Amino acid sequence: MFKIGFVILSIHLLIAVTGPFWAPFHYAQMGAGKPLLGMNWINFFGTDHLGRDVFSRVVHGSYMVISLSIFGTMIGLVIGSFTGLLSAYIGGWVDEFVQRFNEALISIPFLVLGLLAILVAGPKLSGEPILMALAVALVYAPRISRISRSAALDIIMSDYVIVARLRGESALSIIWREVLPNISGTMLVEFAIRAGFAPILIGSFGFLGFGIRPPFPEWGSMINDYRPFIFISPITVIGPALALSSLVVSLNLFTEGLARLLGTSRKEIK
Amino acid sequence: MSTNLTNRKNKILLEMKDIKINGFADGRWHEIIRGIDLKLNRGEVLGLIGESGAGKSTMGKAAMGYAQPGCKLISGSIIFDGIDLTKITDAQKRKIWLTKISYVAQSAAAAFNPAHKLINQTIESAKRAKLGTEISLKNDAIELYNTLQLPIPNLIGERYPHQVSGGQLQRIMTAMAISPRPELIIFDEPTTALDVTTQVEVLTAIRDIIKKFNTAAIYITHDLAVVAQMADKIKVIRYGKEVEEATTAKMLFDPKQEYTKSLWSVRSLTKPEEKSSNTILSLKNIDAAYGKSKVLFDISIQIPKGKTLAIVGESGSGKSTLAKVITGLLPQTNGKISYFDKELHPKLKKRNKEQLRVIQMIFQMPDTAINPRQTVQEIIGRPIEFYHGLIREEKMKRVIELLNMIELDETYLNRFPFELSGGQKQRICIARALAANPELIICDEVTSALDQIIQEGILKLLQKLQKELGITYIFITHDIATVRAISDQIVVMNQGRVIEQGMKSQILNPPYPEYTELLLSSVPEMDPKWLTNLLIKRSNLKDA
Amino acid sequence: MIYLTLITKRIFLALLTLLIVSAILYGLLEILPGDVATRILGRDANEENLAILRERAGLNIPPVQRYFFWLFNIMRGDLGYSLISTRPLTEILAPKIFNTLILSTCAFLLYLPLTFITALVQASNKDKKIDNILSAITLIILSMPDFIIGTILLIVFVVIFPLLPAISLVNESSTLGEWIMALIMPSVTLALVMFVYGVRMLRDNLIEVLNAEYVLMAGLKGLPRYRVLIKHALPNAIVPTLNVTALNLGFLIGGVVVVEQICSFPGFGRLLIEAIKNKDLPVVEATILVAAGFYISANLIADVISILLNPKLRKT
Repeated sequence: MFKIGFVILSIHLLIAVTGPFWAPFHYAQMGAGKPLLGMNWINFFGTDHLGRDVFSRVVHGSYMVISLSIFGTMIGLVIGSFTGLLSAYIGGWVDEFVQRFNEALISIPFLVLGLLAILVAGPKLSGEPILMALAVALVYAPRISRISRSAALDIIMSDYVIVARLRGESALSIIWREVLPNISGTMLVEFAIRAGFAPILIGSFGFLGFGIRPPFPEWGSMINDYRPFIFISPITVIGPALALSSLVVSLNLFTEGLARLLGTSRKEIK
Repeated sequence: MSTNLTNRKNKILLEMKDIKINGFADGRWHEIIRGIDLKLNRGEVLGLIGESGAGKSTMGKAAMGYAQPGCKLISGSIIFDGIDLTKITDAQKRKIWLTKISYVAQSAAAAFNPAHKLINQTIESAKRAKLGTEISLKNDAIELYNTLQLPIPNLIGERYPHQVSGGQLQRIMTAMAISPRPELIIFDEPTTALDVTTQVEVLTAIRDIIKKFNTAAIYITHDLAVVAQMADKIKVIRYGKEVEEATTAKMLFDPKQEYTKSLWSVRSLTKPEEKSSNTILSLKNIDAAYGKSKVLFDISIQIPKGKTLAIVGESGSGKSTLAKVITGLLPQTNGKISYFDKELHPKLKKRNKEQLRVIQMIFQMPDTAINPRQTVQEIIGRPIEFYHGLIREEKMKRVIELLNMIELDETYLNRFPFELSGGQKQRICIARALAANPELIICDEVTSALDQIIQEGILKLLQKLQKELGITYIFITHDIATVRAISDQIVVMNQGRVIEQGMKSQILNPPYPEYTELLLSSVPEMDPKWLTNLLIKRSNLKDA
Repeated sequence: MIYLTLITKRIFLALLTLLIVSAILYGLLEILPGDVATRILGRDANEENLAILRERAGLNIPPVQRYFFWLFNIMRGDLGYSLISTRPLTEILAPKIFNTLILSTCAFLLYLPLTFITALVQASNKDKKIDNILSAITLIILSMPDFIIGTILLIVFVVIFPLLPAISLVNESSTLGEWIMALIMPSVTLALVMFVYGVRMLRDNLIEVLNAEYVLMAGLKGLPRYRVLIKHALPNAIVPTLNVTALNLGFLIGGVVVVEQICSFPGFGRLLIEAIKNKDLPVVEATILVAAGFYISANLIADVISILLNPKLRKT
């Protein structure tokens, strides 16, 4: 199972990296064919209402989706892990406050939170890819913080950390030597799971109209744009939908395999 | 219940032939039981002895035809009352379990459903098998509770599991096992997790019940003295194979195999006591509390330099808490701790490095006391670097020196904890403590989680180190045999108070304060008549 | 009574969390990024318009004070006014919330039995073929974003088999039949989305319940499987199911936003999107607060029920 995921994922990655070089058309190029042509040998996914080749658009959009997903999740991971870890170590009021804060952020439905971030960003950032990544990070940070906190707590309670404390080691030394190496496994799996879901998040933003500024071929906004033409040329919608779904499926399969390998139990709390 | 017992006693109840069982762990199948035979007559009690991992629990469960998830019976036959358990369906097996075979688990707390009343769970099997009306079964259960010497037998069944103590739960589980009047009960380490004083009560209860109803039993344990109290015959197993089987009397006084003999010898390990000229650590009037509840009351102890002070007590006595107070993890609410006349600050954070260096601690569970991501070299090396500032070659030299001291060698340097056995891990913990060049080491139940033979190895090592390096030990334990083996002085604790303290010879010989008497007399001895005699003695005391 | 203290504590914490949500909302939207009025007007920002807006929205009062006024008003039941339509928010929100509630309830009723039964089947047959097949199916559906699922359902049930209307516009004057037709697509989509996440979490929880030592013990006592399941395992499965469901509500509320968009269902998800597009801040704040409130309350209820059901707190 996991192997299938790996294969599909590799294909996606390959396309993402090399795609722009060999895609038959540029994504903004109109006149790649008559508008709303169905599937044909030139246009694998047909053409959209402006006459652009859908397949090329999908290919061009690929690297953005993947890199934004990874980048955004990474930022969220770094922020979340550190806040969770420190919160667990320091304890007391600080810990209580961070917990409440995280809970509050999580209570806002994740999509809404992302939209909020996009709204707040102001005109300069609006429509920029980096905003997508930041929105993803904002959604993920509190959730990752919760998980990193509970993982860190487990470790902090263990005897070998008490040994280090009895030795008189500084807090920094304990966190670096004893805690971090032991939560890295859990956090790696967390990263993979969240990164797997990130394309959906980004796609949702695009779908609702808050994605990257057109004419950039972001898959979510493409699906939204082509929805009105679904009866005429369904392939325009199915193409990017297939791309998005297959990417996420492959990421999820890969993550399952990774988790099983590392033997961690995944308790997915969104 | 049949009355013509003597006749039936000669009929074979259970016959297991050439049992082979494999278990699935870490991705592969391992052999757990490699061909064991077992025969049991009606009304007979068999003691099954072995160390952890020997396979006794698996064997016990196999006796009722049960293979736990992850285990598979490869070959062999299990004939119970004429029926081959390996050849019947699950449903048929369940019918047999309902009324003919019962199982008593090690942890009563986990085996009871926290949401149901105890009495309902007690009669559940009998009720299901329609052995009587609900009222009659409940009355029977109350009778059983009475026989088992439970407090308020007619009301205790109305309670929920979390409302009764561990020893009481274990007895109620025995009642539950006997309620359908089975032919065979399998006891899987029923007293291992209990305090020694509670153990006496439970042992008595079990023995009385199986005698009364003439039930056959397989009693699984690692403690020979315990099983000697009620077994007719004893079988020793190791690494999934039988080592020896004999009647109880023969096994106790004339064991044939070396391994069997070695299982008993730990208890004969002993050390002559020595006095000390100096006091290295002194505790005066220590009180301590967790939040609002006080756990230590006015503790005053003098620890003799270069010798071993054993602190003995059962769970809840406060001995581990005392260790926390001494190291500064739990600051005392009252009283003073002095190291060689210099007062130690109650809080860990406020002590200086030197003060922290001279007192080291070793924990009970070696698995959780070591960072699973560090190699042996890193684990032992860290304190060397931290306290003495040695690095690179000098540090490495010292690490190897320490490894040799704990009777290991350089090949262990790059190994990770998961590659080591329990005993080896504990030795690493000792080396880690030694790396600081301490004056005093607190050993908190350091052998309690290990098998008998490994225990002996660790204790011998500790004694050797004391001779060579002059280290003082505070040895915290609940096991009297260990205390006898290694201590010079003893402190007896109960419920947060010191009951008495003094030289070993003084404490372990009469006259005893009441609690010490209770504690010492509750330790099972290698005499099948021990329990009976103890009970007689205690009831005499009660009448007197 | 120990129950009372525990429950009160939970309620207090929930309220505190809600308070923090409101602070975050207000902080993000009104206080942080520079001038609010400029952002709202965007390209239309010139001196005159800015002044008018500031007057209307009461933006001349310092932000922190504004925050407390806003809170105070909320507690009195006054959510403020929409910037665009100047109608009181309670008037705008109420019918939308009502619609979404109906939608959510339908989705929920579909989701609950489906999830529970599937998770139970999977947990009882752990690692067997049926478990793996179901896991694979859920994984694949999980990987499809809700808007894709919705779109696929749209294609199937509107294009291929023209059973359902493409748009789910309903209002007070619609008949019950029209309501039902309108509700099918969005609630099925929502139920499906919640299902895939719920089933995975619940499966793990149920495996734990089924492997609890007292469940195994009950089996060893010779009790038949169904009795073990019903009397011993299931009662202890209630709490995990509740918890999983409460957590899943996050997906419900988030999913509502997307699904209502696809089907043009007049619920508060659509309202929120419109408000964000129009930068109608008071509406945005109020709707998000309500959404968060629902999520927090649901989790609170789940927690309280677990407390009440906890056998360790029981006394004879």
